Amino acid sequence: MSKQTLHKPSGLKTKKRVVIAFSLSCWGVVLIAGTFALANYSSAPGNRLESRPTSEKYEAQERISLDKWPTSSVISAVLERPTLLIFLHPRCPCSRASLRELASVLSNSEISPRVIALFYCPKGEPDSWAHTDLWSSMEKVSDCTLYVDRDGEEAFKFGAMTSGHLMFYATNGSRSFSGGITCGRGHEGESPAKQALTNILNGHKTPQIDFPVFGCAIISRPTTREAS
Amino acid sequence: MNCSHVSDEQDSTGHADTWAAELRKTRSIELWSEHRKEICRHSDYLFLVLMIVQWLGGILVALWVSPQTWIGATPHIHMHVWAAIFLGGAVSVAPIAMAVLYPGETITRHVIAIAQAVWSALLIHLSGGRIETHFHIFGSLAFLAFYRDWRVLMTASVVVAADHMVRGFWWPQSVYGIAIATPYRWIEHVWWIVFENVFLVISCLRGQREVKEICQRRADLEITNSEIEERILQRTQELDDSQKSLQKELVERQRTQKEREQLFTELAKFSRMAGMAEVSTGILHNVGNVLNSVNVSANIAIDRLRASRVPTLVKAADVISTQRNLPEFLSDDPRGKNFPRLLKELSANLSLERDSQLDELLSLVKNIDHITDIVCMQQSFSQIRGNMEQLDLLELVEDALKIDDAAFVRHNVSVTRNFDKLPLIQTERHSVMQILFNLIKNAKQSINDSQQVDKRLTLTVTCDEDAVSVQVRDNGKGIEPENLSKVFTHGFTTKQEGHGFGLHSCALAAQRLCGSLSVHSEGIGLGATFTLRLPLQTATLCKV
Repeated sequence: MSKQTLHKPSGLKTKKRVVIAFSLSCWGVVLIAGTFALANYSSAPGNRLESRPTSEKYEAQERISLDKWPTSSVISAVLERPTLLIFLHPRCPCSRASLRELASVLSNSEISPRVIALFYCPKGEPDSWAHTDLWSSMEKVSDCTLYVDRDGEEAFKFGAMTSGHLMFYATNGSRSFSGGITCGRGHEGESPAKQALTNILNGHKTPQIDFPVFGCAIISRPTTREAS
Repeated sequence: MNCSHVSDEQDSTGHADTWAAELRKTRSIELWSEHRKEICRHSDYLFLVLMIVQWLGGILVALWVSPQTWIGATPHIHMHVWAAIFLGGAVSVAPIAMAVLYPGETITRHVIAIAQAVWSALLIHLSGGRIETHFHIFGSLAFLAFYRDWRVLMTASVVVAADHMVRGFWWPQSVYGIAIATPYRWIEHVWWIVFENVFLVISCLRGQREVKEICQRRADLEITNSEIEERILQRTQELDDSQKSLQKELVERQRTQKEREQLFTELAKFSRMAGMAEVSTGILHNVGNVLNSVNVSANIAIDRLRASRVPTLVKAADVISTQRNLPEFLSDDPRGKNFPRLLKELSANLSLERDSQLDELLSLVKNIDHITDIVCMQQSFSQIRGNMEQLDLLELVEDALKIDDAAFVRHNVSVTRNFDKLPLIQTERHSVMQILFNLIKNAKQSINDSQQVDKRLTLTVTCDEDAVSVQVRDNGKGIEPENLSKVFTHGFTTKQEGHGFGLHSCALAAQRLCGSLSVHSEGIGLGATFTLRLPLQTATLCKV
């Protein structure tokens, strides 16, 4: 019987092991950093205004409170019914989650508010610029009125700077909710904001009415706007 | 074989068994290692492809779902696109590099497991923590089970657990899709991973065990095959040796056969010569007998001629020729007066003498003719053999009888012929003649040697569909039963002056004529019967 020769399993040399270990360590650091950066980005809310200037000169102007329906708005306040405003950038991918969450909230609310969706459209662009899948989605919401917000003027008047910003006005004209109802950029799911809005639409009180908004910026800088 | 030898052999067998078992075990481990490495290498390539697909897929999905982010009217490339390109690339590049550079290595599959877990985390995050995306984890673990290495599952599970724990604490919406979540929710998720891992680990261990068993069997098979091959080689060598030996033996046998044939040819030649000598002896004997008769006849003729009355006649003629007066002499002379009576007596004597001489001369001529016949017959049978011809067997039998015809008469042997009508047969004349002559001669001798008063020789010739039989039966001294099987053996004889050639050469001649020669005897004093059987048609002589 001929004797069989055995092959020793190949292994990595120590030098290679060191190189691989170092490379993989760097790789791990990159992954952790990248994941952290991505999570941080997703969790970073958009800008919002608690008040707005009365004129273009932001720093020099008197600030106007946003707790009330702005009188300069072309959208008239109807006090017989509560109104839910949503400001959208028609091309914001993160706002799809906001619309899905809104549909969820509305389906679970006892109060049927008047829903108004304002779609940002840049100056010089036709209205069709705003007719995206978000527009189509909002058209399906019952008792919803859609507006093209030319150059975000209405958003500015209401102080909404980020797509997905919702505002709920009670019949007395006071704003009882302001903010986004997603917990991150494009993140669906339960969140305190969504819970708060649901409570409000069901006639319950909620301790917090202001929430961060996650989405694309409708207005980049409020100083470029002319206050009404 | 003594006890120490037995012990040595047992020790040797024991060492061989131990060595074979060790070899099997080593080979089994080697096969297992090769198989495991092959599985891992194959799985590495599968994950290499998967990593590329996930990377490209992430980029495409990012470009499709969220290609841009907007600041008012100004579009920018969405963070997700950059994340898909760079972070996805970063996740995939390490396992791809490892799979290309170090396929099958342990570190490679663990890097792949980490990368796959990170891909799950990334997808879960990008999908907003959708619970459906969590199935990517379960799918990935099942895919990682291709390695059949439970440690790889542990690596991936640890990364997933850590990710859930950290992100669940800091960004719960990123991993669970909700902003409000207990910090310990990751434990529930990890539990389900453990749940799946239990089955996958069992599956891996079972798969490893099965593969080990297969490797064990394969090692056994290989070693058995090796042993068989070695045996086959050994047997083949032995067969080659045997074949060479057989070939050598065959050559030797051929040489022996050739020598034997040569000897047989010479023996046949000598037998033939001996047969011919016997025939010649018989013929010469008969010729001698006839010559005796010729000699007797000649002497009688000489004696009679010497005793002839011719001188008296001459004397009478002289007397007559000397007489001047013949009538006076015949009438007057007393001698003359006796002349008529004398001439009458003389003529009567001469007539008798002539008749007697004539008889003797006729007998002499007859004997001389007999000699001529015998000599002619001998001459006809002494020619070269081998010519097949159509001949009348009965005529041949008669010729054979004729050779000993005088002897039969001399010894008062009565010859009985029972001949069927025969067609002409095709055979070799001289061999048949030799056989018949020998059989008849032996029968005659057997009869003469016996004390039989009624000496009988019976020749029976019969014919069937394809052969003729000639039976030569005598009532001579017979053959002992134990000698029946030997009578045709070369050198066997019961005669004092015999050589044992005659019947042996007859049997060989009968076989050469594609016939047979057999003997039957009831025993001593009961005579014997020899039967020659010949085919009706013999095209060529048969080999003996």
